[in-house]
Amino acid sequence: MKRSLFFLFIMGLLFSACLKDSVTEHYYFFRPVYHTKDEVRNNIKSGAPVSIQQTGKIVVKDNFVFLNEIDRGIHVINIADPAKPVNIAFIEIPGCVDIAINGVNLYADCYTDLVTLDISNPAMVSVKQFLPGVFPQRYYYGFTADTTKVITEWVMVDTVIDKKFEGTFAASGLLTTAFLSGPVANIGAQSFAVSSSGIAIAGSLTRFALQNNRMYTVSNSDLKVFNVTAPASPSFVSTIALTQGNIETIFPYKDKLFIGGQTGMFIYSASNPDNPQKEGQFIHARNCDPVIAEDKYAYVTLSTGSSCRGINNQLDVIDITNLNNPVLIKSYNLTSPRGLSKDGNVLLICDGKDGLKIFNAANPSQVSLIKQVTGFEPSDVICLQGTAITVAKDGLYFIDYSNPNNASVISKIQINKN
Amino acid sequence: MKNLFVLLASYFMIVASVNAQSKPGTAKHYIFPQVALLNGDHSVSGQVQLTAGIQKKAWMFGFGTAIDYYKIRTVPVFVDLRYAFGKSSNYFSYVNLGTNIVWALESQYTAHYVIGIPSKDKFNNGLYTDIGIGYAFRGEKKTRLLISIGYSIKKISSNYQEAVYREFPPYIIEYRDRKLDYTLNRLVLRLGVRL
Repeated sequence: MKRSLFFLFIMGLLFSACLKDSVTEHYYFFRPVYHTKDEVRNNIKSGAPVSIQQTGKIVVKDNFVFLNEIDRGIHVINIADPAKPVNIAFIEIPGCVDIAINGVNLYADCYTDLVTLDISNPAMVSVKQFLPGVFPQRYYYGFTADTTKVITEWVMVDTVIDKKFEGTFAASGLLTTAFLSGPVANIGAQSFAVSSSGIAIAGSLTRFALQNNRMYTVSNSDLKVFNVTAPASPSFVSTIALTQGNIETIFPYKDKLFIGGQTGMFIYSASNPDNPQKEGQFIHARNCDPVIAEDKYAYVTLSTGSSCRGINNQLDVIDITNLNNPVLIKSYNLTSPRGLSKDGNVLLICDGKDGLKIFNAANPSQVSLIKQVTGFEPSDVICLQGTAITVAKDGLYFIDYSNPNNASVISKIQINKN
Repeated sequence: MKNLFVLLASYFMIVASVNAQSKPGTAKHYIFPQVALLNGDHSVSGQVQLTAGIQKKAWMFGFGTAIDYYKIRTVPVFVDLRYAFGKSSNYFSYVNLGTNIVWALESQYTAHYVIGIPSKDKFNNGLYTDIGIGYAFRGEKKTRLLISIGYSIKKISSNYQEAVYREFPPYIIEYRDRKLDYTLNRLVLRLGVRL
């Protein structure tokens, strides 16, 4: 018996090398779903309303809010009664992140293409035109653009994998440190823009601006001009390089284009609408900076958003009387400002976790806080005759500021993350 | 962890005290302090163990605890069941079944930096099993030298959160939970004494 036990010991020692440790890893990832471009085009129409999952850019036209669901399409919300907004339809446009409205025509990007929709009946839109390949920069990081197919959605996939675990905990290589890669979304900082022709009111994150029968679009490093003289069939005119880079927003005012970048505000003259020329600039420390302009002043919010790598959270009021030499009038400290909007003397600023701040801006060198509406984290705002339509992390808020001292939330459309 | 040690120390002291006072013919009490060599997958490590309980004829039942250094430091707490057999009952087989309480060394955590904010793994306790066979050499008085070989499974899990940049709209950084279930298999060569 002792021999047997001894034999067992020896065999155990010999075969211990056969023992294998294992680890089962649980995680999830996103898998793209592809469709052909024809399938995508044929599927662009008004459908039943769907819950909002991720707010994007916003445009108001008449009694309707057109709210972009990033890369998925556009929610159409009836705001005839701002206290009771109704989500009436969803227009499925894969790859859509920017929108502009010109009369009854809505322009939207569909990945690399520009699509024009007739929205005379928002509940039953129709496709008027496709301009292919005008936004070649629209590709997914890590994914090669396919000329025949586009990604229409990303599906979450739960995964369980079994692996051998030969290492130790300190250096297992399995519990890898997660590094951030690539730029972070610029979904936050932006201002609102009222087009000079009264076409529609656009939200601050827009990279599309309408002015003098032209539509101007900015990408990270260029400005594109489209002729929309025939609104239902825009034509591509030209591309102008924006060598400043890191461009985020565009705001049309009179015959000027105020272009917000991470390093400054750049003023372009569109007196020749097909060939805007740089006229002036206001350079600041690297920050995210939506910009709006009115009369002699431009208002720029600087924030330290994670993609911006800035160090300032403030409002800069800039004298633009001399466009060749904009001058800073005063800076006002804020918490985490993003979109802004101005209605007469009332200036509204989305200030991150501090909510929506309403200022008296009658005197640009003495901007004073009137009221702070809290309880949400807004990123963008549009003023609409006493009602502020505010895009926030958790929904679309409607705030009555007709009496700024008593501004309050009157309604909300909740985001459904699921 | 401190409370657990106090509880277990109290238990072993009571058993030792009862053992010293036990009369012939009644159930015997036992205490086994043991050390073990744990031989597994690309790793050899050690364990110190203390088991105590009562013996009724050939059966022994008790509780035990250990400090187990195999790949990650844990404190197994388990039920101990033994059966003595063979001539003079010198042979025994045993089964330990319980839970691993993770008591990881600082170096066994992996640092994760989520937007520059360091965070650590969150370890979760798991199953502990050990089954084996051994031989008790007779020593002086009632002392026995125990030698055994066994197979042990140690399970634990860990959770951590990683910040992942979505390389598609809405191009946000999101926090994803990851879970890892570890199953560690070891051959156990154990040496101990019966007090």
